[in-house]
Amino acid sequence: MKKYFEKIVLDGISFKVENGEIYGFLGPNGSGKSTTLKILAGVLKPTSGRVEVEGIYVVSNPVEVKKIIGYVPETPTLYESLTPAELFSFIGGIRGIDEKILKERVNRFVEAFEIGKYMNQFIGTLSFGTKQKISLIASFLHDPRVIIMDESMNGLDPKSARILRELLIRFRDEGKSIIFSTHVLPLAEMICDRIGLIYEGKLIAEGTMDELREKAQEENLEDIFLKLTKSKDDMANIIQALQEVL
Amino acid sequence: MMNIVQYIYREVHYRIVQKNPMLKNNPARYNHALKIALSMKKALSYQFLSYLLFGFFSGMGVFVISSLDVISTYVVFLSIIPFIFAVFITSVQGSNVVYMGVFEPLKSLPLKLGSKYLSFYLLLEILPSLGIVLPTSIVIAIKYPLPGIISFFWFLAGIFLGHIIGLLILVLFGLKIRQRAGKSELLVNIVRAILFFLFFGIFYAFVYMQNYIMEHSGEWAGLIGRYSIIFPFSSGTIFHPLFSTILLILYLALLAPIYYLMIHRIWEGIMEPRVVFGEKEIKGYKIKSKPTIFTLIGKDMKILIRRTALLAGFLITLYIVFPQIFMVLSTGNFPILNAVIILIMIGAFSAGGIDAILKIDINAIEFLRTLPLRKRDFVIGKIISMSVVPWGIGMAILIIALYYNGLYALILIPHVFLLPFIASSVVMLYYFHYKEEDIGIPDLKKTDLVVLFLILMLIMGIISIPLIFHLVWVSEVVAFAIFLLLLIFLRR
Repeated sequence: MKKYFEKIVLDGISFKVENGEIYGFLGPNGSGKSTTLKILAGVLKPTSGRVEVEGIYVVSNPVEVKKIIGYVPETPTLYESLTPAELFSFIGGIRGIDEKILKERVNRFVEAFEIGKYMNQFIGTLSFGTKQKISLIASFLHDPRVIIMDESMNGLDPKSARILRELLIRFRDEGKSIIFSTHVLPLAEMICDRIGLIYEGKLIAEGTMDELREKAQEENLEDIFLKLTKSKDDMANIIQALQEVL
Repeated sequence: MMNIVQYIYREVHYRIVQKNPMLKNNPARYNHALKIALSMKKALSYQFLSYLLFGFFSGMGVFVISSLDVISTYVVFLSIIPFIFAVFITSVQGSNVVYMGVFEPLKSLPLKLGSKYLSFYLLLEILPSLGIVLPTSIVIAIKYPLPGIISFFWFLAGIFLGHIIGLLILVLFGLKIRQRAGKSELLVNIVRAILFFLFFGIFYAFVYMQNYIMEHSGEWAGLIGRYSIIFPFSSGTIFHPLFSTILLILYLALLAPIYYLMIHRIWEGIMEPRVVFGEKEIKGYKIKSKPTIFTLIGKDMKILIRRTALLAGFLITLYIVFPQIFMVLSTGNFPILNAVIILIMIGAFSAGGIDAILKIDINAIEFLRTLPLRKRDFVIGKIISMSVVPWGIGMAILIIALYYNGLYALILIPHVFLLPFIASSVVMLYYFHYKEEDIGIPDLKKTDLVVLFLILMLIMGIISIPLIFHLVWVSEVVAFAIFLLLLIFLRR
């Protein structure tokens, strides 16, 4: 459970992500996705409950957990007065990555996401999409065993989004655990092995696509999502109301 | 109009509170801080009252003065204070507001000249400084009604002039987006930081102002007479009401169009920031991996050099001890004992840089918390970063002491390095003594600063006791023992 002052924002959430699995975490805005992912990454603390990553308790041992996690936040909050090259060096130093390996990995990622020309520019001057790419690279540099991504496709150009998608599939095949939240439902449908649906701080459904289809009696993920989050019936009324004022 | 100004005020102060994770973890303090920060009336009134207390003593000084020359000189000096406030708040806070992106939501709205809201917001932040000068105006008005009222208008004119100069600084330096790191940035930023010192230096002078005015009012009266049309001397013309009023109107007539021009330039700058490229385009890039502590210190130094406001705060120890060093050196000799006393003073004031050192990470604290960074490493990195400037000043003192005293001055070496480390460690341990591994930016409350100051004074006092008996080496042994004790605490 997670409480912000008196308000309960997460309540009774319980799920497990296996090695070699991509777990999609879906939910409407403000449903508690980011809070859950931040708790998993050791950035926030739960008010009560137990969070384990690869057998390590996150609350009591956050530093050890952060060593094996790669966390990409929803909005990249980086050091704006540093250049990407300086930021990657900073991360390499903090994570204790060997300089030769660090250089090799940075070069590969920089090439893949085409950010070479921005490497000596201050991060604060770069576009949201470029910052997002930097944030992604920053979280992959130490070759994490667990990847947590919070709507990380936001702002990416189609090529980079495709590269990231392929990368995630490859990571899964290597046995890494990946958990990511997204509003791009076709993407979730395409790559997720299992999906968890969170609504008003509670996990309301979980399973493979087939299991979710059966539960909601709907075919595609968008309809499943709208039905399970009780949004489908409201849709016609909302659109009607908007048409009246516009 | 006031709605937008209030929006800017609330947004700026909300973001300041939001970026304080230590408050976020403490709901009661968070709510209290938010309540005060978001209430414009409360916060400004509180500030005004604080300054009024300071101004009350200044006003009392004027009450007992009967010489018109002395009062004129006093007004000249006093008018510099709101002027400096206006320059500093306009340039630094203005730059911060734009940097924070508070204007981004306003850009898409059909606003003709959005920068006027920034200007009004900044003037609101400056206005409490009137509390320093208002009692003086009232006291003068009780004795001489018209000059008293005119003095108040000169204080207002000083604010307006300072505000315009601040806007000019903002136009020249605060609205640019520098894209690449260049070698000249260090030099430019140091020059800017020194300019800040000069502004603050006048505050420092205020402490000695009253005595100085009493002794030199005759000379100043002549100067005021000679340069009476130039601010701040112009504010000394209050006892020539007609001349002073015409001068005030002329100032207003001159400043109003400049103000309008500045507001226009700032709005252009906000809407489309000027992108400045570095000295040359660098084709390759360097990736290095260093041990954690060096990585942290390297990051701190890079960011400090690149952000002028932080650099000014970082060099604060230099500013505090400089007048003392100057006074000691002006005597023509520099005995070892004097050098030790200055080194102890440097040590005590090493803590002054804490605000700048911690603000380095304020925007990226969440990113930092995603890394496997131990609180101990973070704290040690900060201690060393905080000690860099005091160590530099200490080295300069050592060199001067060597010049005056020969090799015997080498006895100072332990104090040069130990004292800033001790002071910085005490400060960091005070703020980061909580059990959790979480890294946050502590909330620097005034009471904490007072407690810390007392602790530091106590420690420096203990180290100073052997100096009463001229036993420098014993003092160093004591310092070393405290250093070892702190190391044990840091390890834990």
